[in-house]
Amino acid sequence: MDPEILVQADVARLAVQHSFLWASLWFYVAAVLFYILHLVFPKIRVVRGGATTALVAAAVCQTVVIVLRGVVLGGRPPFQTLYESLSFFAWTAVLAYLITEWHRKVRLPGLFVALVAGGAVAYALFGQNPAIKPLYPALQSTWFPWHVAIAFASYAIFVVAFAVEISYLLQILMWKMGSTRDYGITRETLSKFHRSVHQLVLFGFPMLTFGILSGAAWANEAWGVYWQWDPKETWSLITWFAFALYLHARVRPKWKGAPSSIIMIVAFLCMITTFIGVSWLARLFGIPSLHVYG
Amino acid sequence: MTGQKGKTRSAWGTPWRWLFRELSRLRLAVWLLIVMGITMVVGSIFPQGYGAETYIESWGEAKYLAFSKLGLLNLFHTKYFLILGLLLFLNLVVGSIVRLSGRRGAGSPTRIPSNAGTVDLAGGTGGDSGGIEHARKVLAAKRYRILSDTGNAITARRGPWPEGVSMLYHLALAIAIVGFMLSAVLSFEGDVTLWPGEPQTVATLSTETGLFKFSNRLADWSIGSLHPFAAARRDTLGWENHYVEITLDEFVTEWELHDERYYPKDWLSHLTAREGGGPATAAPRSLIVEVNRPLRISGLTFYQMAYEQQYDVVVLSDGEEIERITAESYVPFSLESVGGMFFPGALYVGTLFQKYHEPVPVVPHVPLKWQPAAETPEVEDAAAAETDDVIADTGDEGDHPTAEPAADAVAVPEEPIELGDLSAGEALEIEGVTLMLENPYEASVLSYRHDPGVTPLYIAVTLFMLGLCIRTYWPSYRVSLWIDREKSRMLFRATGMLGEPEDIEKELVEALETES
Repeated sequence: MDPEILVQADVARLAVQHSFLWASLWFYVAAVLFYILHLVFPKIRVVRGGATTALVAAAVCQTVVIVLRGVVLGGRPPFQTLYESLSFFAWTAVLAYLITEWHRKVRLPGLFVALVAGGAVAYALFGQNPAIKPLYPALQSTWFPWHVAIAFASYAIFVVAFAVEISYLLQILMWKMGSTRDYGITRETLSKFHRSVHQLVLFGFPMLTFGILSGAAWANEAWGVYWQWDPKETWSLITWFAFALYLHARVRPKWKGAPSSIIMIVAFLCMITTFIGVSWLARLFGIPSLHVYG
Repeated sequence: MTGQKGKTRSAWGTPWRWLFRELSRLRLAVWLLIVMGITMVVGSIFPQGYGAETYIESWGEAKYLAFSKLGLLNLFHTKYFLILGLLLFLNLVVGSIVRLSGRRGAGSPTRIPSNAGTVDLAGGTGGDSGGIEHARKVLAAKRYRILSDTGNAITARRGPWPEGVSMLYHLALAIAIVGFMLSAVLSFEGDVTLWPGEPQTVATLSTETGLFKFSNRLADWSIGSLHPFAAARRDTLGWENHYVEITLDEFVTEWELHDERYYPKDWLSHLTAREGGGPATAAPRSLIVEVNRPLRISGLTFYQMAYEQQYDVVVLSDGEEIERITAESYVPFSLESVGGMFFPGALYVGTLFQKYHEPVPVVPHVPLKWQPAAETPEVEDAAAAETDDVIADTGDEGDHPTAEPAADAVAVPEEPIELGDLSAGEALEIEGVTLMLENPYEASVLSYRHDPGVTPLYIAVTLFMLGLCIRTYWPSYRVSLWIDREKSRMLFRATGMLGEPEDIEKELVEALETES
C-alpha cells in the first residue's frame, strides 16, 4: 500500500484517539459532578449509578485511546511521553478503583479518584503535546513495558488507597459535624473500611518495589550502573520509604490513627512528585535528570 | 566465684543487651525512614556530584563553598548518610534476628484483647476441657499450625511459614552484602574508543580495584623502617596475558525520520574479539554490542556508550581543491580560505528509517553554523550553549541518555549564521568558495565494567522480591483462643495481612459451634 495512505491513516487514528481522550475528560467531569451529588444525596440510586457509569464510560474511552495509540505506535505500549503516561496513569487508577468499588460497594472514594484521573487527563490535554515520538535506543528494552506497567499498577493502587484514606477522614469529619448521611460505611464497618487502605498499600508495595528494582536492573543493562542518585531514582526511593513508613506506622499502636493517615497522604504526594514533580524540580533547580519527560 | 562470674557477665551483658534491644526497635526503623527520606528530598534539590567549576558557574563561589561545606553537594556519600544507612541496615538485621529467634513472643498467646469474640462452651463442645480439645481439632482441620498451647490458650497460624519467609529475606540480605563487598573490592571500569579496523587491547585485570589499592597501602605501612606487609605489594607483572583485544569491524548507526527531524534509532558495534590469558590466545570471535545489549567477555561487560565522528572538510574554488582539514562533530573549526569560526553539529551517517518506507542510506551531512571573523566569540564562552545545541541537532530531548559525541565539544554562541548542511552530496557555497564533506567515519566508544558483585545482587533482589510477594500476597492469619472458665466460654481473636480476619473469625465460630 502507498506509504502516504498509511501515514494518513495513522494521523486519522491519532485524531480519533485525541477526541476519545477529550470524551473521557467530559466523562470524568460528569463523574465528579455525580459523586458530589452522591455526597449530598447518598440515597438517590440514579446519582450513585450515574457516578459509576460516568467513570466506566471514561475508562472505556481511555481504553480506546490506549488501543488506538498502541496501533499507531506499532504495538508498543503507549507510555513514552508525558501525554501518554498521564493518560495511562488515569486509566489504571480508574480501573483499580472500579474493581475496589465493585468489591467494597462504597462509592465515596470515587470522587477523589475521578478528580485525580480527570486532573491527569486535563493536564495531558491542556499541558502536553499529543504528538508521538520514536522510541529512543535506551528505551528499546524488554524491561521497558514491565518496568513502566508494574510501576503504574502500583501508582493506581496507591491512588485508590489515597482516595479511601481521604474518604475515611471525610466520613469522620461529617460524623463529628453531626451528619447522618449513609455512604455505605457504618461506625461498625469504619475500621474495616480504613483497614482497606493498609491492605491496598500492602498490595501495591511489592509492585512499587519491583518497579524500582527492575529500573535498576535496566539501568545496569543500558548504562552499566544500576543507581546514580538521579532525581527520579531518588524520589522513587523516597516514595518507597514513605510507603514503607506507612506500613510500619500502621503496626505501631500509637501511630495507627492520625499519624498513619498523614503519612499516607505524604506518601501519595511523594508518588505524584516522582511521577510528574521530578520534571518540574529538575527544571526549577536546573538539575540534569536522565528521566525527565520530553 | 560463681556469683562473681555471673555478675561480671551481667555487667558486660547489659549495655550489649540494651544496644541489641534499641537496634531492634520498630520505632528506630520509623525514625530512620523519616530522617533518610528528608535527607533524600534535600539531596534531590541540590545537583549532586558535579565538579566545583560547574557549581561556581551556576551559583557563584560563595554559595558553592557554603553548600559544599554543609555536604549538600555530595549528600549521598557523606558520613552522615552512610551512618544512617548503616543504622537502618543494623535495625533490619537485629530486628530480623529477634523475629527469627521468637524473642518477641511470636508464638505465645498475648493478653486477651477487649474486642475479642466469644463462643459459648456450654453446648455440645464438652465444657472447658472439651472445648479446648475441640478447638485443637478445628484448627487442625482448618490447616492451622499450633504455635503455642498452654491448655487454657492456643495461638495458631495459617498461611506461609513466616520463619521461612524471614529466612528468604536474610538470605537476600546476606547475598546482597556479599555482592556489595565484591563490588567494592574487585570492581573496576573504563572506556575504550574503537576506530574501524584498529585493534584495541583492554586489560581484564586492573590496578584500580579496591583490593589492589588496599594491599599496596598495606605494603607501604611501616613501623619505623620496618615494612611488615611489604609482601602484600602487587603490581601488574605477570598480567600481560590477561587481556581482550577488540577490533571494530563496523559501527552501525540508525536514524528515524519523524516530523522532518532525525531521531536516533540504534547504535550497534560489530566487533572481533580475541581473548588472551593463556599460552595460546583464543580464536577471534565475532560479537555485537548494542544499546541495551551489553557484551560480556573475559569477565568484562561492554556497553555501547557513545561515539566519535570525524570527516574531511574540503574547500573548492572553481572546482579545484584549495584546502582540506579534518573536523569532528561539535568541535568548532576554522578555514584559512574563508575565515571566521565554523560550528558543526552532529554528523549524520548510517541508515535512515521512516515508518512505512524502505530504509535508505543517509547522505552524510553536518548542520553547520558560521561566525564571521570579526564577530567570532571566545570559544570558552560558548560552552554553556553546548547542551541545548546537542538537543537541537540530534532531536534528543533528554528522556534518557543516548550515545553522544565523546569529544570535548564546544558549542555555538548566540546568533551564528546558519549555513545549512555541509554534505557529501551537495555543495555548500560561502564567501565565493564551495565546501564539501568527504570521508565521514565514526568511532564507537564502549564503556566497560568488571563487577563480580552484580550477579549476587541479582540473586539477592530475586530472593527479596520472592519473600516480599509471599509475605504480602499469600494471606496469613494468626488466631488466638482463650478459655474463660468462669463464664464457660471461649474468646478468640484473628489478625491477618491482606486477607479479612473477620471472615476467618466467622469461619472459626461456625466450626467451633458445630458439635464435634
